[in-house]
Amino acid sequence: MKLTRREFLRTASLTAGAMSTSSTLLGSTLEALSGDVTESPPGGKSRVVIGRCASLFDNVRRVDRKSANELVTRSIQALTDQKDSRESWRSLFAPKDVVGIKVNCIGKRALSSQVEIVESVVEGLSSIGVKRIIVWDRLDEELEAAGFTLRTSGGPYACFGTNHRGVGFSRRLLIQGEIGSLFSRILTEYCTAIINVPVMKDHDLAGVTGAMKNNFGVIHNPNKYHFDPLHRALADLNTMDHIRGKTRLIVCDASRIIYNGGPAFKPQWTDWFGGVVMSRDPVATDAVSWRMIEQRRRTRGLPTLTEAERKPEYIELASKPPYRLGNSNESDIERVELEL
Amino acid sequence: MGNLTRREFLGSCAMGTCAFCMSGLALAGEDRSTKAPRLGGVFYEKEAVYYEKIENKRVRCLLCPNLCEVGDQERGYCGVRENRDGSYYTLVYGNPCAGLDGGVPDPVEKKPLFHFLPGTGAYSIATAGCNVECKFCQNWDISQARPEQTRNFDLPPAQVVRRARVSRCASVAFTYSEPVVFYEYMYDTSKAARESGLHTLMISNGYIEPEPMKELCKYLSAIKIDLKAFTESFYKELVNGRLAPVLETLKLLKAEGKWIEIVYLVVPTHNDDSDEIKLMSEWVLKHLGPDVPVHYTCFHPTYKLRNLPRTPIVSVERAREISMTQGLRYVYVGNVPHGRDGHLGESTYCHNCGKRIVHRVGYSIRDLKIRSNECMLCGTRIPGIWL
Repeated sequence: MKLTRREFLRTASLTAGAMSTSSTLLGSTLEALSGDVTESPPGGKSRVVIGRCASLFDNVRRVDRKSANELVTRSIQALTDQKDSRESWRSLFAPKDVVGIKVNCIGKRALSSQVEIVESVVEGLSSIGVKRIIVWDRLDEELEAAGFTLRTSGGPYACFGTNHRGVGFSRRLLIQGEIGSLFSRILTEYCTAIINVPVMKDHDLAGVTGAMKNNFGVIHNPNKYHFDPLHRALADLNTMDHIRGKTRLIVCDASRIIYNGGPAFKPQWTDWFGGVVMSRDPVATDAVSWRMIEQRRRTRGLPTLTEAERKPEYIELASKPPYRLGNSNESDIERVELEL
Repeated sequence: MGNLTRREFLGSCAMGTCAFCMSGLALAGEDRSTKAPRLGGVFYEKEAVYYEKIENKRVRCLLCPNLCEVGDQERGYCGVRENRDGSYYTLVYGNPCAGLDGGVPDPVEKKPLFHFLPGTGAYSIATAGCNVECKFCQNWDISQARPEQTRNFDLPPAQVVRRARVSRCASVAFTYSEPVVFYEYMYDTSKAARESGLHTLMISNGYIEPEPMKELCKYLSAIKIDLKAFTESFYKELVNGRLAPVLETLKLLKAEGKWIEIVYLVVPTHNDDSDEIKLMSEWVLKHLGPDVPVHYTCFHPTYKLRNLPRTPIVSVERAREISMTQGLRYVYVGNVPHGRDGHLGESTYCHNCGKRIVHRVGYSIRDLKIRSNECMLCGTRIPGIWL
């Protein structure tokens, strides 16, 4: 499947239109969100909603679509303090937005952003009239292996990888601190807003992989940053304008939590939690994810990530100057727990 | 190869040039069994040779000094080796990405190898990936890419050899990116090439573990090593690697009796200090001997190092002088304007009589006065592998 010239031009013109009008159409929205939506107001707390649904899985551990929908809906209501879910979505997105939902599909069907959760997010966006929605990750093949159906037209959302014919990476090398990379055109050219949908996992090098690390999937050379200086590179990457300026919401898939042996699926170290962690602050999302992973490690008698020499240092680093990408201290995070 | 007369030599150069131009046509009807090239095409999957399995389906790569420990579903630093369920695979075997058909017939002088069959062609292949990250990499579009981001060809070792022969190349060169990362492909292709009478050239940063390097030496004719600098700090800051393993590789190649040439890219203010050049020259003299050619080449701003000017020609000329004063016999300059008659530092001069015995202008050979490995003017043996 390839983007036809017609489809491409339609996407491009819509994107360009959305970009050129975004300042007026989204003016009030962005103003309400203090301009940079991923940065918490100085001194303000970051709200993180931990939603959990007892009936999320059916008896063969497939995600139940109706429960997923309720989980996402109730979580966004709690995050935005709205009783009407459409008001919740409207407080973050406008109908003219081109919204990219960046999923994480490295773990195939067993451990990727779950289709049912992603489609619940799509449903929320559609309810306020957002028509241009792209579910994306690095590769077409990975999206398909995770259970998504590739399409560039038709259906409620498009779905394709950066490697899809006619897509690819921006030509210009963007440099920020440790990072020097080409960025997916889906991020830089197609989308005006991003919803980050990572998976809550232990990681053999970073300690924890969640919101911030999911953005390694938008650059062409993540392998160059997985080793030293991984933590600084993660903070630098998330400082990039395209990521920081466009990310409006994080929906961390915690339907299952891998608390050891990640990032691949390890059934023996999986907690079938049945939830999501939702926030507008990527650092706070990752800080909460870290604590949830540590809690499970402790319960199972595993060493802490610090003891295992895998402390996710980037989380605290990203909260400090010069990054200030969000809050990592418990006292700066307002946790809201939902049980459905 | 037998001795060539001047007439035969010039004739062979002209034929070679024609062959380079015609190779695309000659091959047009040949490789019908191979799959069409495509972006991100991975046509083969081959388990890596040098790695070990560790706990929880993790692996440790034993190919280069990075010794990456790689989790399940993850890749090593090179970006072209992947852990799949606890086994390590190369994703670039048989998947070169250079040129219009997967390989390029280059003059061997372009590598540069100046003491190796001058005027012949080297069928050059490369894949995506590299095990270091030079901030000044000139081929970063493939070396710093993953195989799914490059336009790859279906070209197994036997096809590479066939194309090299059709292109009338004397050798197959593994070059452009970093051949260490496509080790298995390079190894099998080298073996096939040598068995069919072709030479094999590795154009490398020398960042490889001793065991795989030694094993590969069985099938290599010559190696060009990029010695990026002579300080660990340069390697750490601008290469993301280490100097010591590269020096060990050079010593190993010498011990194996392989023909080596060294390229030193002179980067202004970073590795152009006279003392550093002197130390490096002393090291080469002591450990490799006076006959190993050293090429000083000019940097130009690219990739992540764009805030520097091009290397002034006087810098490489000065470096050449220092090395020759230290006792190295064959020292060259590269990436310099050569005019109609070539730069003095591009040609080869007999270390005994001092006369010009190979006249080079850019990548072309204007005159060759070496016969039976000896200077035709004084009879001194000239180090290298000659026609």
